[in-house]
Parts: sequence; structure tokens; C-alpha cells
Amino acid sequence: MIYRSDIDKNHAYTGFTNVIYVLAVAAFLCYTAPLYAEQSDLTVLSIEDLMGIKVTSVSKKTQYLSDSAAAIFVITNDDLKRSGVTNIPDALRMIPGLNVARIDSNKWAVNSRGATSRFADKLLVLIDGRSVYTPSFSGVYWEVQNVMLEDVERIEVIRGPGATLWGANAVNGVINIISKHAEDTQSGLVSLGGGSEEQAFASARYGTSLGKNTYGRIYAKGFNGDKFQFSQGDDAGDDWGMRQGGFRVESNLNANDSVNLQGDIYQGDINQQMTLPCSTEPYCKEKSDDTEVSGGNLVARWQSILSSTSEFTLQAYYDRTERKEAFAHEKRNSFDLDFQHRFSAGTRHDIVWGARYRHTSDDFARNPLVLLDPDSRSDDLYSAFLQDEISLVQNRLKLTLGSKFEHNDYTGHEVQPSLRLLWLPHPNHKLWTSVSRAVRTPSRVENDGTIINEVIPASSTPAGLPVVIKTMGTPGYESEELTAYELGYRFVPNQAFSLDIATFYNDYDNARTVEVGTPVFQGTYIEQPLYFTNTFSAHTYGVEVAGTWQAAKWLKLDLAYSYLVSDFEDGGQLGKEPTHQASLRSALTPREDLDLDIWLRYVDNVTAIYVASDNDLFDIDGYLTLDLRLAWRPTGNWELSLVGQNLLESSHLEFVQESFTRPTEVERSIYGKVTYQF
Amino acid sequence: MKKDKELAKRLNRICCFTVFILLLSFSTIGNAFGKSMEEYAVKAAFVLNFARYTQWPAESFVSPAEPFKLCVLGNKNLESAFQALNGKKIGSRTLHVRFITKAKEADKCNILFISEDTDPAVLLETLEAVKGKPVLTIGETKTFINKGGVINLFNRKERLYFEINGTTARQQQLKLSSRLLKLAIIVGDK
Repeated sequence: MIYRSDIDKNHAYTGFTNVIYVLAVAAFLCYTAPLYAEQSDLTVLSIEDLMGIKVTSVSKKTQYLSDSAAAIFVITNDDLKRSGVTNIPDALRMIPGLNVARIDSNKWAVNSRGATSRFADKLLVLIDGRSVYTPSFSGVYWEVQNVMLEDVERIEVIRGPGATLWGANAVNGVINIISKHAEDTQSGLVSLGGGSEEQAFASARYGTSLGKNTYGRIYAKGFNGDKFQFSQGDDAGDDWGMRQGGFRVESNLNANDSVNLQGDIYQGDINQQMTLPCSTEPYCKEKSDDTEVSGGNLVARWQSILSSTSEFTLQAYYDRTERKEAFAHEKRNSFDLDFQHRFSAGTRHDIVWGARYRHTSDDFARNPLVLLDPDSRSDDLYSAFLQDEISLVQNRLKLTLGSKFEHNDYTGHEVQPSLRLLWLPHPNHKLWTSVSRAVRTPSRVENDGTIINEVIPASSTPAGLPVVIKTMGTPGYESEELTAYELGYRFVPNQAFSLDIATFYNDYDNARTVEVGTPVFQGTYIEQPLYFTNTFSAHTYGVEVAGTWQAAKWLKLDLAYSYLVSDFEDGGQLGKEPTHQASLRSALTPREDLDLDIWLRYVDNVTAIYVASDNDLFDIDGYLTLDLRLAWRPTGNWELSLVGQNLLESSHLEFVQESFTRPTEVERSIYGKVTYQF
Repeated sequence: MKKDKELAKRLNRICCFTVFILLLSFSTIGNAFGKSMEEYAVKAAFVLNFARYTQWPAESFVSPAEPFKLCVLGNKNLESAFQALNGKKIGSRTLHVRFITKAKEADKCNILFISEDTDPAVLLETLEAVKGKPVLTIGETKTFINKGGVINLFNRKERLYFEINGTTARQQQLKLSSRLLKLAIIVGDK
């Protein structure tokens, strides 16, 4: 093969300079003969074979960007590979508008358009249609989402509300991690590596045909991550290891119908060095905690194409997770059934509607630090949505109207409508705007929880008794509401260049804050309750810019810049967001068997909520950092790569968790990797 | 089967490479390619198969040696893909490819491919012109079947599918093979 296929597919290498022009023409001349000979061979293929051929991969990314009236960004499989990242959250750093910070070796704080924290609660994350949003605290445990990156087809990220289609909690954004079809992974892959922080990792996948029109793959991966350092310089004791395996089988039953079944199972040991509050001298204790995590899921999907204008998907899944750490031991089982139907009505209307049922039940072991009452609870969610995409002027003006209607056991009925308008004054220029509403439904903790935040030592209180600060959920806790206004512009003059600018103004109402309750004398200590309430309002606004330029056949540049202003910190639940963030990636291919990738990132200074500090806030400096990746493919099957991450400083602080752990710095690291495909 | 798959994959890669080279060569044209070349190359190969699995009434041809006429109504982008079919054999007949621009040229064709960028009024006029005549109409727009077309090619999840309106096929006096009907998404009666 002349060129690696994924490069061919994902990049339409184009160039502006004359040099490139000459090269291209030369290449074109050189390959004219085989090109025609081979291309005409398509006509000897049977219909069955033709139906199996993939088409339109070239402008796929551009199409995604172009046709939606939302701030969408797509990370392709090639972007993942060339970024050198070993996990999903680190990959999300290339997206403008996303706030990603690593708290320690095994924890991340991720959100879209602000409101970042370890327990960031306004981002919906789906892996192949399965929600990994945790209803106990309304966030995502990123450390247990270890998909096999080589088998990820793409990650679609929508900043801003996606609640009309995806439902509650798709407030600040939606992340869709989409893995490859089993048909597209009909080969073996083994990759091994290790380094200073990514101590050792291995993954293997094998895919094959399982009879006519049926394909399958299995995979397994595992890794051990080294510990980082506390800001004071001592070991953070946060080393961890995860093991995950899974499979995917799909079958095209006939021309109309396809079914697939997939599942994953994981298990991991996560170490944490914790500082836990206690009611007696010295009021806190150090604990080396070995957190045990495990889980599994099984997803079944039936897709049916009824005609070129009508198709439906029926999906059911079961998901189980368990997490046992010093302050909580949670087991959760979820079942989810989802139906979606898309059809055209007349020439102007594209309608999509759907219905969903979800059942989730949890069980918490009694723990004095995080107590849930009742300690076991089952909840049901019923929802339906309808969205109409109306072509007002053919190829010029498109209006999308829709709403989600759902009923949950915490707040009852929720309505989440949106209105979006896309205008193409010229095929290269696209303008869009939207107004939408989304809600974030209460988490289990906000409703039923009691958390012991800290104990103020007797010596620093006027009463001479220790004060135990508790945050308590309130049964009447309501949904947080967002009304978002967005305006975006895209300029896509050709396959080689695209510019995407999105601006937004978010108006949050009923947002979370805490109300100070009456102190209670408990004999040996004073208990100071803080109650979660919905009495806060916040506003954020910002600008996000994404630019891509295939400057030459061998050079691709990707720029992301975000500007964000937020007044969430006034609510005492969140810190100050980074005002400026920038990412510049340059992917060089000096020779077809060599990759050189340079990734420069800047994140402005922030503050984070940290209960152990005097004013509950922790200041974190801005940082500039650099990742480098060098890869060499001695043959078509082998790839050797060397990746350096966070190279500019020996370590830097990105974020801190609200409580229980100490500020931990992300260290400079390097790893090597060998990949063999067969 | 497996070999075919591998061949298909290989061809796909080669097609991708072709597109890439073409894009290199014509970088300033950029978006003028609404659809990539490869998609039309695959569609053309589909059209050839449709021709092979369709039976025309005897009166469609004067002699066994009479060429088979494929007309293509559309822009320049798909010309090279369809030109590649010129001279191919459909049974004993040789395929002749013609690129047409007007509805009235259509009724002399055995197969008529109407591309998606055809003006909707021209599309309707053309389908009207061949209505009831033994012409296999093939299109690539979602309303094609409803407007009286026989076969419509469409793209879902990067793969090409085709839907067939059996009623229209009968009205056009065409008999489609069971193999074709089995692989198609049937709209209306079989």
C-alpha cells in the first residue's frame, strides 16, 4: 500500500503552495495508470460486495461541522492516535470550550463551558449510546471509562445544551464516544508499552468474520499508572491499575436490518492518599485507601432502515458498577430501553422522535462520612422527544424545533425545548443560532445525602469545642435550569481549511448553593449543617474558536482557543474558571513512515473549591505545557512510538478535589509503545 | 467471499488514495466536489449490476446486437465514474453511456441515472417523459421513489443502500430479478 489507509480516509491532504502543486501533479501522473486499472475493477464486484464498501470518508468531518446548528467538534481515530493520549479526558483537551484538569494520577475534572470540578455535574457522557453519567453525584468517574482507544471511531462533542435529544443533564455539553463497527476491525492488534508515569500498559484486539454478514471482535487491555507528587513534594500515593475486556458482535440480517451486541467488563485498584475528617483529636486522619472499582455492561441494538427516508433504532442495555472507597461504597444497576425513529415528511420536514425508559437502583453501605438515607433507592425515568428539522429555503435556511418531555422521581415533569436556525448565505459560510433550555436533575447526594466536609479543631472555635461541618441534601431539592443562547459561524472554503467560531451566553437559574443551618450541640462537638438549596443564579459567556489547516500534504495544524467568563464562584460551590485556554497541535508527516506531533497547551489560572483552605478556595497558577510524539513504521504492520507529556515543567498543578485529598501535581512523563497489527 | 472482502477493502483504499490525489491536483476546487469521486464510482458499479439483474421487454431492442443505452443526467463530477462503464457487456449487448441534459432525450434510454443536483422541476419532467416506458430510472434523492423513480441509491453510515418501488418497475414493464429484490429495501409492493 502506498499510504496508510486511515490517513487517506481522514485527511484530504490539500495544499496551497506551488511546491505542493507540483508534487501533487507529479504524484498524479505517476499513479495514473494503476489508478484507472484498479478503479475500473469496481465494476466486476457483485452487489453484495458493493454494499459492503465504505463511501464518503473524505469530507466526513467537514460535513459534521457544517450541517449542524450547534457547537460540535469531532475527534477522529487519527486525532486520538496522533495526540499520544492514553485516556479519553486527556484527548478532550484538544476541544475548545472544554475544561479538562487532572486532579491526580487517577482523577479528572471535566466539563464544558465552565462549572468544572471532580463532581462536575452538567455534562452527559455516552459510550456507544450507554450513559456513564453517575446519578449519585451527577458526574462521571472518568478513571473507569477505559475504552480501547484504537477501536474508537470518533468522539463527537457538543458544547451547549443537548437536552432536547439526549435529555436531562445534557446541560453544558454532550460527549458521544463511538466505537468502530466490528466489520471495520477485522484484524488483530497488539500494543505494549511503558514509561515513567504510564508504567506499563498492554492491549490486544482480534476481529474476524463469524459467518456471512456477521462480524465480531474481542479485546482486552490493562495498565498500571504511577503515582504523582503532592505539591509539597512527597508521594501522592495515587498509583492505580485497571483491567478491561469486552466484545462486539454485529450482524446484517438483511438489507434493512442489522443487530449488534456488545459488552465490557472491568476491574481496577485505585490508590488514594486521603485526609479524612474525624470528630476527635487531631480531627482528621490520613488514610491510604485502596479503592476497588468494577463494573460491566451489555448493550443490544437493532437498527432498521425502512426506506431512504425512514429508519429506527431500538436499544436496550444493562449496566452495573461498584465502587468501594474510604468514604463511600456504592453499587448500582441500571437498565435502559431507548427507541428512536427518524423519517421525512414531505420534502421539507425531517422528523425524529423517540421514547426512553430507564430504571436505576443503588445500594450504599453505611459510612459515617457520606451517608445516604435511604441507603438503597430505585428510580424510574420516562421520557419522549420530538424534533422537526424544517428546510425553510432549500440549502439556505434550516429551522430545527423540538423538545424533550420527561418524568423523573426527583422533580416530576421536565420540559426541555430548543430552537435552532442554520443559515447558509453562501456554501462556504454558515451561520447558526439557537435558544435552548436544559435541566440538571438532582443527584442522589443532593436529595438524600449527608457529607462530613471537615472538622474545625476545638482550638480555633470560640466555644472551645470541635465543629463538624456537614453538607446535607434536601428532599425538596429542585432541578437546576439553564437557558442558553448561542451564535456560531463556520467558514469552510475547501477540504484543507475550516474555521469554527461559537459564542454563547448561559443563564443558570435555580443553581446550587448552600444555606447555613442552625448549629446543633451534640455533647462533645458542635454540628454545623449546610443545606443544599436552589437559590443561586449564575451567568457564563464565552467564545470558542477551532481552526484546522492542512497546510501541506505533510503538515496539519489544529488550533483551539476558548475565552470564558463565569460568575459561578459567587455561589460558593465552584471556583473561577480559566479565562483563556489555547491548544495548538501540529501533525507532521515528513516521510510516510514517520509522524512527528507537537501539542502545545495553555490554561489560565483558576481557583478551585478546597474545604481545607481558609476561604474554601485554592489558587492554581496558569500553565503552559507541551506534548511530543514521534512514531516510526518500519513496515506496514509495526509501529514504534515515543511520547513525552507535560514536558515543559517537572510538574504542575491543574486542579484540586473539593475535599479528602491534597493538591497533587501532574508530572512530566515519557513512554514508549510498540504496536503490531496482523 | 473473504477474498472478495479483502479485494473490496483494497479497492476502497485505492479509491481513497485516488480521491486524495485528485484533491491534491485540484485543491483550489475544494468543495466543488459535492460528493467524492469514489462514491460515484461505487454508484456506477451498482448501476451496472442493476442492468444485469433487470429484464427489459423484448420490444426494447430491435436486434440482439443492439447496444444497451445508459443515460446520465447530472453534472460533470460523475462523468468520469460513469464513463468507465462505457463498453461493458450486459449479456450480449455493449453498454453505451450518454450524458444528457434535457428530459426529452431520456425516452430513448434503457437506463436513466438522475443525479441529486438535478433541478427538481427537471427531475419531475424527466420522470414524466419516461413514465410507462421500459426505462429503468435510478436516482439518489429521498423523494425519487415517491416521484415515480424505480430505484433509489442512498447512503447510511457510510454504506450504500438501494430501495426499489416494485409497482413502478411493473408499470415501466421491467422485471427485476429476485436477487435484486432480496438485497433491496422494498417500498410499496414487491
